[in-house]
Amino acid sequence: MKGFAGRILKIDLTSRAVEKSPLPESLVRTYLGGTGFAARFLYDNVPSNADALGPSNVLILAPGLLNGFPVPTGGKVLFCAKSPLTGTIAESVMGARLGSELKRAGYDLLLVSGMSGSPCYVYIDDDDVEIRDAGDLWGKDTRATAEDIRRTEGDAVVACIGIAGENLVRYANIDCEDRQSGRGGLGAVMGSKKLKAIAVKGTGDLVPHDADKLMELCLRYYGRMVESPAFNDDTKYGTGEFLEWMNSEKGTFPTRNWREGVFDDREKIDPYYWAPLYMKRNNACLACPKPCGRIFGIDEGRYAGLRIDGIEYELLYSLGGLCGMGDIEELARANELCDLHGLDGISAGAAVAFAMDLFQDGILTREDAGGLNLEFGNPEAELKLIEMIARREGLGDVLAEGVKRASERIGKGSEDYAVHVKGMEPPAYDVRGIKGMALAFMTSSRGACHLRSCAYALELTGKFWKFEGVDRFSTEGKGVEIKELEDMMTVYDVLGVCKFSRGFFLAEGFVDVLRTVTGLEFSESEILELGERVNNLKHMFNLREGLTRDDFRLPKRLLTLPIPEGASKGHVVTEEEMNKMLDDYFEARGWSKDGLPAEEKTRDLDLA
Amino acid sequence: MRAIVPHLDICTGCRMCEMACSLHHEGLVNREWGRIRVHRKGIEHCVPVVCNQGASCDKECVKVCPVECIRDVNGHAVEVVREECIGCGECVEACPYNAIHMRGDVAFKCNLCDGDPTCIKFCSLEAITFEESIPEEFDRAKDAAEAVR
Ligand code: SF4
Ligand code: SF4
Repeated sequence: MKGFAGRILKIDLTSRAVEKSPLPESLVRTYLGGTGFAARFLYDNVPSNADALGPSNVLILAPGLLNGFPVPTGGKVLFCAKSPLTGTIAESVMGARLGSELKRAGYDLLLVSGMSGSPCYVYIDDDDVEIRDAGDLWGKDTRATAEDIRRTEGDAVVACIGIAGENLVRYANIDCEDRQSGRGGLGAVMGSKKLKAIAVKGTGDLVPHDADKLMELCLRYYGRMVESPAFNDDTKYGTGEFLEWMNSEKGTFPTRNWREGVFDDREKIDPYYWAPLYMKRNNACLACPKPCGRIFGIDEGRYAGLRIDGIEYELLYSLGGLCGMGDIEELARANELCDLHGLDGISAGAAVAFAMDLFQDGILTREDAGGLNLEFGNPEAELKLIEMIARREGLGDVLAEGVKRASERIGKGSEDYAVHVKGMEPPAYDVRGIKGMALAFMTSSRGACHLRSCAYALELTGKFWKFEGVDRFSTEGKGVEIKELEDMMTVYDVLGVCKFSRGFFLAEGFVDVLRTVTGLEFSESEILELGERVNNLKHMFNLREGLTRDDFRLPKRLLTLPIPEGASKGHVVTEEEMNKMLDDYFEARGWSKDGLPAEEKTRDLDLA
Repeated sequence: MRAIVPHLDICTGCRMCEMACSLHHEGLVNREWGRIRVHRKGIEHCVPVVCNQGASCDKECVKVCPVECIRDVNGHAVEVVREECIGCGECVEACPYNAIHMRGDVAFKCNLCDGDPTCIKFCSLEAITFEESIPEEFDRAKDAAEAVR
């Protein structure tokens, strides 16, 4: 099979067994790769109601199908497992070389099950697979860990966890060359298995079906991307480029734990201000000609020498606006702490903001916080609390559970302050003023998420793909819209293509690319059906874990507190609107009012 | 003389050049077949390493080859004539830029794609450029190449 490596690698850390098996051909056409394979193998290999932090959870590393080929922005790889944060499927995509390296080592997928008795790391060098001692690495930060391994293993690509993963922080992430598989606590899954790192070296050939045609296609899409009007702003200012637009023009930049939708200190954290001062260079994902990533560096003052990949839009929100914190150097330091300790910066910032909010209303006291003054906007408190979360010290131990569980522990009405869906702290879109996005938060299989659907772009601009004239304050037609977008975006995660390229490929482009790389013929509708199949399978996994309609609810704050100021002033999602949109979505999906897929649906999708 | 000039502060580490290079020359993708290779030096920078065609070296590879199979074939690029290569690896040792490689029994190196380098077409921020040699940039590249050897 052209384009595929053709094998699956399974490692059991309990028995230390290593098994290489052929990639089942029956799965190729139905799931293709990436999130498709991940969902299928998660469903088939993790027993229902497994402890997410126990030996029967399976950590899956799934390269996108196009990883390793120079298809522009086709370098996305993902980790997947049952989430210790949400209890649903967790998957998180990153732009790192890990996927192409695994494919070149000869594997389309890596599954790690069981639990090691002592710290270990997995070392893959083509056919040579070893489980090695990581006693000396345990306790080290992500950068030092990768450096240590690379010192002995030369060119290996290293993915690893920091102390947050070791300490089972429920939103610990996995780092690979300063990029993260960030959301849903996959780092804690590694930590629970005592798996500090995965190092991969691959030297094999990736052979496309039609090399000449592939070169032509790659050049064509490369040209379109580089010539697109957004190229300049994206590469200069990164994902935070639209901060002012989100904040001032749309009024949908969640601020001070979702008390507000406009951040008054916006200009201090806006990349138009800081990029010229702090940006060192662009830092690309594998295969990306229009990198939004950049290296941020501080050369003077107390953080002299700081280097991070960032600061990305989402963290300008979570570590900035959401905590009311408008100092860019402190924000960079918070970002660095998250990266070094291996914490999801979105959830970590949201947990700090949640604590600050409780402090403001007297539910948490200075005493509860170990003497910290948790006022909104206090950078010392923010940095200290992030440190405490990673180490699970004092209040940090409670916040390390995520805002949902933390609020259950704290009680005293703190549940009303916990903003999450399915236990996942949301990204930077104030959905009270973006109704379709509110539905997307609700329906995402991994909990509140902007990337399962990327609906924010359509909702805020009014048009994308086959949709036009979409009104962000309306609830009409949102069920079909989110269903279609989710199915389309899933294809990106199957192929491993960046969703910031969604203006360039779409189904028609993917038909060409797929044929050229693999020789497989797909129609546009078949590709979208594949996306639908994968989404249904993820949903079936969640249902098996006991998910019900109640788990699709928005948190109380977004249902009761209207945005107080700005361009979305007065907007909120009412209980009625929430239910209407959810009903519409379930209907569009062919699911019952309780969210159960109809039998013919699962049969049509080969899932019965 | 025109050569591929690397600019270390600009390279983003996207590796499009690497992948496109092996696709163009071998019809497959593999860094091990790449004439140009990018090395990541921590978070600080990425280093594209490629032959300078003698713009900044004394063509050591040409000098050491015992069967004289490394030649200036078409007036602008130093090329390995694959059929004649005996796979001794002397050139790999001799190159101060770490820009010539062995795979299996043959040496291979950048031949500027017969005057129209593929890698250049995929470097969006111009971290590699095809132009008259810039000695300072080559000096830095040489140090960097040494460090990643
Ligand atoms: S294409 Fe340019 S930016 Fe990308 S790795 Fe090569 S030299 Fe660096
Ligand atoms: S391969 Fe090395 S020695 Fe030979 S011309 Fe190129 S840089 Fe000079």
